[in-house]
Amino acid sequence: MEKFIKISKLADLKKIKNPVKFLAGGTDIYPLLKDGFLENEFFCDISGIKELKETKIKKDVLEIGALVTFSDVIENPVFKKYANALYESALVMGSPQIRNRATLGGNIANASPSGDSIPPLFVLKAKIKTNLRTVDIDRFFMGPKKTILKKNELITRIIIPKEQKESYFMKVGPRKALAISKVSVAMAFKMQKGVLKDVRVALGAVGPTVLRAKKTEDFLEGKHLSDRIIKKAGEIVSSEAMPIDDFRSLAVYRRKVAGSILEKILEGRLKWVR
Amino acid sequence: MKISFKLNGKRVIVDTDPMKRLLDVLREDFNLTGTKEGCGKGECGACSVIVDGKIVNSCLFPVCQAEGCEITTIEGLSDGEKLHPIQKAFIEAGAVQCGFCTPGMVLATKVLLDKKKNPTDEEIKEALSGNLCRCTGYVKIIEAVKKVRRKK
Ligand SMILES: Cc1cc2nc3c(=O)[nH]c(=O)nc-3n(C[C@H](O)[C@H](O)[C@H](O)COP(=O)(O)OP(=O)(O)OC[C@H]3O[C@@H](n4cnc5c(N)ncnc54)[C@H](O)[C@@H]3O)c2cc1C
Ligand code: FES
Ligand code: FES
Repeated sequence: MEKFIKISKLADLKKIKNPVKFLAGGTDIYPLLKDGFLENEFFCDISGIKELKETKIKKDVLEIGALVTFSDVIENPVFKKYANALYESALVMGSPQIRNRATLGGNIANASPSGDSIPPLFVLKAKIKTNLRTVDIDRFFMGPKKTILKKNELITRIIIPKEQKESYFMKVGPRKALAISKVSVAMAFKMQKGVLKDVRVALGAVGPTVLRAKKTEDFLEGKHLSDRIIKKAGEIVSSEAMPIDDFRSLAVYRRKVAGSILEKILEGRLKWVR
Repeated sequence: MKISFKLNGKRVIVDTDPMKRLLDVLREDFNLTGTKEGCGKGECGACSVIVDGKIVNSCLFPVCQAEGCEITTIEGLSDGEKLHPIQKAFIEAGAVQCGFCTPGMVLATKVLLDKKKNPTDEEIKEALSGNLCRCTGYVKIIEAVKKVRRKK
């Protein structure tokens, strides 16, 4: 018997009797198969569930299906409008080939500390909806490659509030290097007369999971944006980053990079105020 | 599992393991060996094919997801012995050395030019960023893409 099923409706989840490995775009699964992992898994192809490919604009929220791809995020203008950090992360994610296949649901479930959609979703206050429950993204990740998902629990949608705020994403690292070696920063805030409000900062690839930089957020809250404040915020971010590797010089390097990315984002914003 | 799709304009059916890579189905079941395997991990683009107008890595593509799709491989581009204008431009510009990356490069170029008639250098680089070439240093490849652009 083939160890494979394909479902085309969410309701069919109930019919699954055994533990399965969901298959969406396959861009994380196939490299693992190539290396001889996942051989005994029973795969469940979810790519045919049409309702999970849609993005709906509701009154207060954006409801994004788990099968929406990074290419969809670039092409559908609602993302740039309501979730600019997510849009900016899609622009620098993988290659055209990867973006055409890689889904947001797969990126979240894979729970890599360098998953590019994750820092944006943190700062956009996303909620992750599954077939069983809805959870704040802050409570979704347990460690590298670990989430709160139970066996056969499927991410169905990502819910983002449509608040009027700005958000940004930047990723820096050696070109053509593995995605994991690139540090990233996402940031969101409201700007009222030059003053920052409701600041959120999240860091990718500097810890076992994506991290919120809470000290930096507290420092920036209510501050008037200036060169001095930006410099100080960069220093605080660098002290908050907890690089994954113990390798000393790399760890120091990653922290510095996180700090300088944050400074770059804010400097760009400051120019626009002036 | 039986899977049916359109391959280079013809309706086809295969009966195979649903998790088999589209790359292996193309090469083994259909003898279309123009699609190459480089890394087998989504990094080099040698296995690129066009599925429903989008460029994808066939080494990461489960054949079960080809059901009902339209797939174009490099063999579907030329008209019998007559080369496609993109293929001609690649030869004329000297953009082919060992040729291993060429099928993927040509298909990625086709998707780009189908969408944008006059891409900038930046847009060309971006569109080909998932295709690695170990021989040419890319300059001649970009020239080739511009050559097609001028001819059109
Ligand atoms: C060459 C290459 C470059 C890459 N570059 C980047 C990059 O720059 N940035 C980045 O972030 N990632 C990158 N990736 C990783 C990968 O493309 C992404 O993580 C992608 O978003 C995974 O989505 P998918 O649909 O392909 O997942 P799949 O491979 O189908 O699945 C991944 C995992 O998630 C599970 N899963 C999938 N969907 C769901 C769901 N709805 N609910 C519950 N579980 C689910 C699967 O069971 C599996 O464990 C790259 C990968 C490759 C091969
Ligand atoms: S063989 Fe598919 S990307 Fe290298
Ligand atoms: S021509 Fe040899 S890899 Fe490109």
